[in-house]
Amino acid sequence: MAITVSIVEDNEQLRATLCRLINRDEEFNCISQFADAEAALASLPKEKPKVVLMDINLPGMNGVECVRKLKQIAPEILVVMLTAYEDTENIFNALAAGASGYLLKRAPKAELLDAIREVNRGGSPMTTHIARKVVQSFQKSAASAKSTENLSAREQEVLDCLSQGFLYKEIADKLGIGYETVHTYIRRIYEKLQVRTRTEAVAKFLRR
Amino acid sequence: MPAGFKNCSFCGNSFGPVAQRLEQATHNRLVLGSNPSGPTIKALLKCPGDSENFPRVLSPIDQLARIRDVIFVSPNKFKDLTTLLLKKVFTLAASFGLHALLLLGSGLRAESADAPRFLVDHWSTKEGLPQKAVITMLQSRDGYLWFGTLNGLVRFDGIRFVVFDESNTPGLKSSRIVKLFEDSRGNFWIGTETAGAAFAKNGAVKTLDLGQGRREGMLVSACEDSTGAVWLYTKDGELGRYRDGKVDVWNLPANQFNRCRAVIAEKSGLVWIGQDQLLFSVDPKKVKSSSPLQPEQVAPVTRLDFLLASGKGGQWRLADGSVQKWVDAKQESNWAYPWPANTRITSACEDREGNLVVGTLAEGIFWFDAAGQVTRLTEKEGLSYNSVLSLHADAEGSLWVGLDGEGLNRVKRQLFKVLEPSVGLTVQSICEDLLGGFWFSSNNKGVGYYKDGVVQQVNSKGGPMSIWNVRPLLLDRQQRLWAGTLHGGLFQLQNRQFEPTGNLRDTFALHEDLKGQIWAGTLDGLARLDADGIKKWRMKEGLSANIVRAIADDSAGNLWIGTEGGGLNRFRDGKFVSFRQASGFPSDNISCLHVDAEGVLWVGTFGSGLVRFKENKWTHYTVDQGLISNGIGYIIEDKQNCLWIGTYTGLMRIRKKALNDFAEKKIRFIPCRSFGERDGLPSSECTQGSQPAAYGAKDGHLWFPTTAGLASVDPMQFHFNTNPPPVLIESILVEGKKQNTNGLNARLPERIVLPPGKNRLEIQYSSLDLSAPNTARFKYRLAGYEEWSEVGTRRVASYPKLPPGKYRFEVTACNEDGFWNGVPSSLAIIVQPPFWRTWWFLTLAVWGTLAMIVGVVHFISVQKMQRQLEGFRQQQALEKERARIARDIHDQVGASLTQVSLLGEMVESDKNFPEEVEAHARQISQAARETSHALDEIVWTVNPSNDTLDGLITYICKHAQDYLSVAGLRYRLEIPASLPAKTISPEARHNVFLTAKEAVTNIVKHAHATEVWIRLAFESRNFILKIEDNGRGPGGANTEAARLRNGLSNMRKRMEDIGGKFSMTSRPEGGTIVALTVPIANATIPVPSPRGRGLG
Repeated sequence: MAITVSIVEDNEQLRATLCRLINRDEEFNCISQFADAEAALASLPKEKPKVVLMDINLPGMNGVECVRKLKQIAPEILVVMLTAYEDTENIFNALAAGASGYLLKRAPKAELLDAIREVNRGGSPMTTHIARKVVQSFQKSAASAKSTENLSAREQEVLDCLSQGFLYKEIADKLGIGYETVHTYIRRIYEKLQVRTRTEAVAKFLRR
Repeated sequence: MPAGFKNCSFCGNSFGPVAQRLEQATHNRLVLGSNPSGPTIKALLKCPGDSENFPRVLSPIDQLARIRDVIFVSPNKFKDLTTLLLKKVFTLAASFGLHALLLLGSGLRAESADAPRFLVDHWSTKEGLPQKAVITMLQSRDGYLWFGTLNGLVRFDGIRFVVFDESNTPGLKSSRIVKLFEDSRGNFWIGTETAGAAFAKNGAVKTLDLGQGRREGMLVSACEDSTGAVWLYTKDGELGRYRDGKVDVWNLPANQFNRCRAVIAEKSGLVWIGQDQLLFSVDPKKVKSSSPLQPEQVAPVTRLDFLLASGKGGQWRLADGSVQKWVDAKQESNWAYPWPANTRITSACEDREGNLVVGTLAEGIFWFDAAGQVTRLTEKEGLSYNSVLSLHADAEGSLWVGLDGEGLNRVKRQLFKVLEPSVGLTVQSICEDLLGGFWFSSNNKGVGYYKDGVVQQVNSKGGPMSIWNVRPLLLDRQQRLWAGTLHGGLFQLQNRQFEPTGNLRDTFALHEDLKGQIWAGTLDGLARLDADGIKKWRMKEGLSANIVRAIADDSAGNLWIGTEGGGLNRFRDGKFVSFRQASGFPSDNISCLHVDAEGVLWVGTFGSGLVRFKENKWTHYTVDQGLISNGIGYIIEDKQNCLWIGTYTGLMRIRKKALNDFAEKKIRFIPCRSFGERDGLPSSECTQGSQPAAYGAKDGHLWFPTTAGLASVDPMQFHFNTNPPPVLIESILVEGKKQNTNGLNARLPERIVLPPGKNRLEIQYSSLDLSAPNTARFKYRLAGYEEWSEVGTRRVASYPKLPPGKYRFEVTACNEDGFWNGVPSSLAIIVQPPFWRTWWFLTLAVWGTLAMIVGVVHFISVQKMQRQLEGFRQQQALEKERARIARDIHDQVGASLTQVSLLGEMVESDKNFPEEVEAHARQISQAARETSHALDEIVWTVNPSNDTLDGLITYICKHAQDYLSVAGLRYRLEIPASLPAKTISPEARHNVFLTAKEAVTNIVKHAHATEVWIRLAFESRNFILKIEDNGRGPGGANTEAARLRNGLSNMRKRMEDIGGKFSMTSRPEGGTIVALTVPIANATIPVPSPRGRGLG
């Protein structure tokens, strides 16, 4: 069964090109396209695509916010962020909001499709610099956080390795765990990051 | 009033003055008819009509000697005595046979006419003397008088006594001062009664080792010899010589009681040492210390009483019953003692002329003249007591007398003589005939003729002249005597009787002009008496007023007429010109006129002072300019060009030069010497109402009518006092506190310093014009603050708020004759400024202020410049950045897009060759991806949200990761999890990134490495980014070295551009280390920082 994909992108040409490119491969099926976050939020929970490609910079509500809302309504939908440049800050925010990965718009076709596949399979891409961000984020609020929201020793290990430039495979080798297990750890890290981010947002809201 | 004395029913008050004097009692003695300065008999005792026993008589000549003998009687004896006397007088007077109602006699005429009279002033404890016995006295070089008493040493400036005693003078062991001596250096040598002698220098008193503790050891004589040594001689014969701080003592024979001990230094240089029966001289130059005295001369005396060195050389030796003057062993004079034998001589001095004055115990003073004639001065002559202890004659001619128990006397010779018979009369006018007799008129007493001591009354045919109020008398060149009266008309003396003449009433003024014409001023106009009758001028004829008070004429032919109510008239050629108050003349009421030899008209007024009328210009003098009164009665001139002016309050003598100087504005104050009762005038009030009044007699004497008698004086006796009075600053008060006092011969400091904030200064000064201290006038200035100001008799200068600075206070004084002391006393005064007004503070403040202004201006301008520069730099940086971006876009994006478009065309043209199309399409996407990547870099560089250390490192890591993973190299990051929040400038960021990128590229391309490490470390202000590989190291293949070098130099330059360092070293384990050292700016990132909008 084809992986259902939905695209949220304000550039119409790029949107159409991406849609065409995805649909060319039988493995994927682009079921819908949205020009802004509001329209996407209105339709996506009903359509329930497997993967959503979402531009970060959207008119009106931005992509990061859209991800956060979408993940609250339909947590099962996986989101891959699209970005023209490797804007670490925004990418990290999106990941913290619940996105499962990200893609550069200039990535070649194969890479694009690989990324969708990977996410769909449950993989969690995390580059070294994102890992550093995650480490910082956890350090920052370690004191105030509940124990359940803290990283386990193994998760911390994985994250440290990532931030030092180790590849997934190398981590697996180094820690003596399976490649998939690394992914699992990373997914947990992301979940905890999301929880933590939400808690922070609430706390921030309450403090106002 | 004693019985038998009643007021005269005829004249009313003529007994008044006499009665008053009868009541003057001193020491239980009645002084009969005395004049105030001395008991001299004049007796007018009774009026007619009261009793037939009492004629209005005075004692005739032969009786007066007897009257004089009994002049001092007790009051209860007076009645009998006067009765007795007057009876005798009456019989005598009747025998004259004159039809005389009043006979005035002057007793003592033979004696008293020439005998000097004295004016005596007295001071005692009431006036401030501490004790009544003035034992010793001296006048110090600065002019003060000093007295030794048994209750202290006294300084006197003519007004104030200042006492120095044990309590207020440190070093003075006793207040009982018996001897004073001042040496030529101004040091005092002080003898006390039992505490020995002391020496005072500049206020410090030191006891000398001489005569201590013995009453007989007291100092009795002292002198200074020609060598400057001071000789001191004690009562018991100890003789000390003090020279240069060394002392020699000789004990002279004291085996017997000696009344006299004396040591004197003659001008010749010899020092004479005397005792009762021994007198010898020594030559001080030959006297050796610690060897017996060798007499030069021994004088043959058997009984020495007193020894005095003469100011003219030689000595006065009072010995063996005579007064001897010895000069160079020769006797010049030898006069027998005029005093009773065994009289105790206590003191002696020389007067201004060098005549000897001797003071005695109980016998008064004997004043010798050059010929040895002696004038005795006792209580009779006004001395307060006959026992004299000390004497001093000052330079002004006064004799100061210290008395044993009656204090101090100042004796001045009286210069005015009173015509005894005129005493008590209000004399109007006087003139002298060729025989030397004087005619005088007085209110209600007619006309008297005084000659040879006797006064005759002269009557008119119709009765005594006294029924008319006789005013002016005029004796013309033809020796005709004219008498003007009120109510009785004008009289002329003919055959010893006055006969009415003319038809004039109420005549005030008579005048004989230069042509010999007689003029009369009356209540009813001006009249001229010619041989052919009387011609009159009144207001109708042009006179300004009808009451004519004074007449004068000058050589120019002007007749001057002074009127009452109409001012001054000038009559010439039958025409009157008037000068009146309305037209600016000082007064309309003229009392007297005087034309002097220069033709200057002097005008006296009834209440407006004196006027000088010269060349139609008048000068006005009043009390404000120094006159003693504005009410002038008469003016007369002496041969010394002085005007003598009779006024209501005294007689004035003024130098015409002073009046002229004033008119020419050379001086501002008229020195005016005034005389009154205390100078011997019968009254201070001079008569007004008749012209002429005063008279200049042939013998040069001037006669002045007063309201209580007629006085005469020889004006040549009046020397101008040309002794400029010494002026001394006595004390200085700062803020009311006495700073320095002119203590016992202590000098005032030459300068006084007022500390900051204490600037209220008061300076007390004094003049030492001992003869007339109250007439001294002062002027002072404070150089640097105010100029000279004449302050009259004030003796203090006050400066309430003296600003800081350096000043010199100078004060000087003038005496009664206007002679100023040309050498002012002076005192330097320094008022210290508060610190904020000192020069150094002001200088500092000025410089400080300037420096501050300069600093502020500099700071502002530098700030501004820096801002401008900063703005300029930013502008430049921005422009550089923009240029770089433009270049980047053009070079990278532009070239790639051009390539894409070319490839696109080639796709079109090669559409028939699928392989070609595929290749072209691959190239197109490749180019587009590269362009996108380049844009990514450009955007990253431009985006300000990446201007952080974290942003830079993250980007470098990402780039390295991408690049190295593609190339298949392993890499490791060793970077602290959290980086300091520091900003990195876009330029630095760009350069560091490019350098790091090139380093990574080099590794991939040339290093043949398999693993890369990126490490970040911090050191002080830098961070160090190390990019290491395990390749073949920096010394790679030679072929590549050149290229690499070029790349390296680029990298190095980039780092240097941003102030950092670049290094490339080999890694010990093999491989290369590239280290980038980058300075970190201090600025931290504002948190939370607004994130730049990312590009979608």
